[in-house]
Amino acid sequence: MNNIDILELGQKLEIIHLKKSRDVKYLSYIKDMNTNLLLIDVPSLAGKNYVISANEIIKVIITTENAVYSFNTIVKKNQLSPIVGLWILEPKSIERVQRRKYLRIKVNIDLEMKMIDKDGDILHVSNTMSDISGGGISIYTNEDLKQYVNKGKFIVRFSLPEEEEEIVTEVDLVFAKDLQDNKNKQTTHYNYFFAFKFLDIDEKTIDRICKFCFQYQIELKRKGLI
Amino acid sequence: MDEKIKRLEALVDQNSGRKELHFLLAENYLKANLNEQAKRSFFNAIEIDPYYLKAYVRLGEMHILDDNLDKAELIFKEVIEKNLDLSEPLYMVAMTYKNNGFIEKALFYFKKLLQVDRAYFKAYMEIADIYFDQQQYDEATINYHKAINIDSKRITLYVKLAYAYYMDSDSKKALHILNEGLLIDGSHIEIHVLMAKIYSDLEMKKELDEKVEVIRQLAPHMADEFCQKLA
Repeated sequence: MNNIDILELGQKLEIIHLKKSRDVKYLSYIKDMNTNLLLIDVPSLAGKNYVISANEIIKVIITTENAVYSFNTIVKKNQLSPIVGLWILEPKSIERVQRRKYLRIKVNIDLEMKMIDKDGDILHVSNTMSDISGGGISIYTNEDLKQYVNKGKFIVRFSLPEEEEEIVTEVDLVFAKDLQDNKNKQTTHYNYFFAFKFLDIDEKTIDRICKFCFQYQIELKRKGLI
Repeated sequence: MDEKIKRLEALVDQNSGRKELHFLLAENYLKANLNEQAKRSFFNAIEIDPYYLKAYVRLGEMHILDDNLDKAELIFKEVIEKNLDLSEPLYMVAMTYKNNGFIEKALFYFKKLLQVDRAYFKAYMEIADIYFDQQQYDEATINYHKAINIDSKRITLYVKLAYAYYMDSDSKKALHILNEGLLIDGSHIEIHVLMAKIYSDLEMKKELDEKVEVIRQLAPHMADEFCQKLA
């Protein structure tokens, strides 16, 4: 499978300018598609545009609910109007980079997630964890949390089962899915699904979470539940 | 209505919280000359993210194109006031004015930007480009120099500065700057071509022949083109 079908209008992308810093990922999305070419938004970071000239090579990373994909391509030209963006060459195939870095398990853990705006006001609270891994958590809600992105920060607080020490960290929204159509809503009565990555969490805490995930998985297997 | 717009409208309906989709829909409305719908979609994007600079700038630009400068100015002031980091909004507003031919307004905002961030080399470069276009080569060279002082590795600046000196009939300084540029990128074809042009003007035949040979090695078609122009 060449995975090319994951490219669609509006698909969010992360862009790395290979000639420059390989550590910096700029955000973009697909604005148009035609034969062999994709128009993507001018890559930006924290609201600042990043100009990439024609003929330069970029790496494009696509994160979906289940996996991360990437491909290298070339910028064909910058377009200034009417739709601003970069035309890039559509790849012939897209590599599946990894299923995910950490083992993710579905688990029912009480948590408190708050969205705190720039004035310190709490805009949203939720408490339904769907799954957890060493990299982050995901939750179901009835409220569309995308409306809060850029308005402040999401803070999550929870304890792993049989542990007293709380884990409190800022998280970043990395994936959102609208479940309001019937197809997606079969498995839940919530309207939205959101995945967050941990932002300021130390290695020791990641190890604790990973250890818990593995033990939980082993326990489920032992009980014949998976 | 075209198919693309219909698809985007459906996508926006399904993802109403994604500001960039409202923005993309607005751009497509603009392309289809559906200006009122475009304005509404830019507004929708701003409603989702009141700091969404790109949407403000495009909305302001629409008012410029409608000859409604006062309204454009109000929108630009709003986005500048909202953003804590002023550099990017000021730069984008200045560029919007420049791209639409309002040079004095553009200069005003570029200069305002430099009051906020003296190290914003692109502002010096844009100011220099404006003075260059106005044939005010003294002002152009001053500002290119300022840009180079901030970002001394950017080869385009050396080419532009040298060209400004050349247009100001100071070929000696132009050659000096071009030689500095070659220390950064010895195979930069534009530099070699401009040097050849200057040698030709100065009737420095030996240097000209050597330079044409260099151009021939780097880009044979450009050497042929250059020789045809000389002939």
